[in-house]
Amino acid sequence: MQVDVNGSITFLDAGGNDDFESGRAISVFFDYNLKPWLALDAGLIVSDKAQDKIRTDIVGTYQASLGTRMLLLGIKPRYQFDGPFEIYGRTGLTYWRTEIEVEEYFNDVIPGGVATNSDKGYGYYLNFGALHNVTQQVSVQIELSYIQQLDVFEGKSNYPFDLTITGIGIGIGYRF
Amino acid sequence: MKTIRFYLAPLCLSSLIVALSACEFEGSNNLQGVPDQGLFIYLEANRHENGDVAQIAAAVFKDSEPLNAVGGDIFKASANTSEVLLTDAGYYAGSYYSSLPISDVDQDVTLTIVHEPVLAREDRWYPVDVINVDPGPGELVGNSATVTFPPPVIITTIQTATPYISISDSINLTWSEGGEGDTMRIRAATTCDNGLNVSTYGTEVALGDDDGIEAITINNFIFDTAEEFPAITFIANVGLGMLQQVLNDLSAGKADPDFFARQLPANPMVRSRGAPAPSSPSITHPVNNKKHADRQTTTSHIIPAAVSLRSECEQHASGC
Repeated sequence: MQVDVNGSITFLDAGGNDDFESGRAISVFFDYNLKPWLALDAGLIVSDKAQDKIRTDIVGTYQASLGTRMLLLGIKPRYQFDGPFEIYGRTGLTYWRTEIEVEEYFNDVIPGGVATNSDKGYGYYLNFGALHNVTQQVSVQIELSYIQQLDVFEGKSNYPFDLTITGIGIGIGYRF
Repeated sequence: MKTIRFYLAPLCLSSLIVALSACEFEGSNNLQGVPDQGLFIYLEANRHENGDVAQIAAAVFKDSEPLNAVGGDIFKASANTSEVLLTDAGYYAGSYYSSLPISDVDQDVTLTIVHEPVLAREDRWYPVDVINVDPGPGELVGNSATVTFPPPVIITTIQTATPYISISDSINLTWSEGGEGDTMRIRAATTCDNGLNVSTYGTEVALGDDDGIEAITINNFIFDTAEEFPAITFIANVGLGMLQQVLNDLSAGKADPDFFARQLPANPMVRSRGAPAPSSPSITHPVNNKKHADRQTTTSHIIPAAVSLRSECEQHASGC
């Protein structure tokens, strides 16, 4: 069994004219070894709110931000090289909860405000990483991630979208 | 030394596309004609004849200052069977525009200020129907203005292929007046060929009232090359000199002099130094085409008190 903790820089794409600044996320994975080269993979990812650019249109000046939490369940195949190096992948399904907050202002006469809403749903993830075993129990790793949240706000809104989250993170692993 | 001769053909053939238009409201500056007090809507609808869309532009002013429609308040233009929100911001503050599908049965275009907090935000990426900071309708909501397209302008007399041999000649133009109170303009697209080059340019002439008759001299469409235009001549000569130098540099001095000779504009815009001016330009007017190509109306509407309507119609007759 193994526990991995990674800190990541994330990049969000909602598929429209969004232009998010990069965000941060922390992830924790628990791996249960089914075979020497394959493990059952379960994880939790929590991101801070990534902010879209401040924009002005014919309605007002606004800024949206998006935060998300995800549970992940899948498999983790891996390949051990001779020596301390190893590569691995993760893939599976994710259950997410995503919240969008919009802060908007109009002019000096009309007061602005903040609106927030959230949704839950499913998606999938596909990660790839490499690690270096520092000791028999402890490893350091770098991991690329690709997560797709499908149909965000589907059923609640006439304007649903798919959210793509890519990221790169580093972390440590502990085997026991 | 090789002598280069420049020739301008004494015969300058030009074809005109004639347009009649009328307008008493100058829209190039959105502050012109705006009253100092009260609310004022500027609405312009421009439709080409037989076109299926009309370009709609609008702005609203309060005490002569343009107001931005914010917070979900937005202009809605509607005809009998169609409507559109003016979601594109125009060049001037407080101005908006869009295209409205329209048919021949649509004589009126109505502009209404509505509150559409979702539709006004439709270009945003997030779900605006469930995440919306809606301040509610503003003070402008509910005001409206209507414009009516003026009757078509039909050119009634201008002879087909009429030759004009002097720049002082006049085109005697008559049309079916109908827009009482309108002022008219004529627009021309001129093509001039001197045998070496072809120049194409446009001119616009104010005709005054929509009284159905006007005599327009040719020099409104073709510049008299006997006149001096120092600024244009200077710029043209400098430009030609720079071009010549660049080409000489690029070709190590082997640029064909004939090439520069062919850079002479066909005029009538400019006349090259030493080149003879065409002394008697001749114009052949195109076939009189009574069909309407363009149709445009401009209306300003003071709300809610006094109402003033201004209209503009525009027609192109073209042919050759």
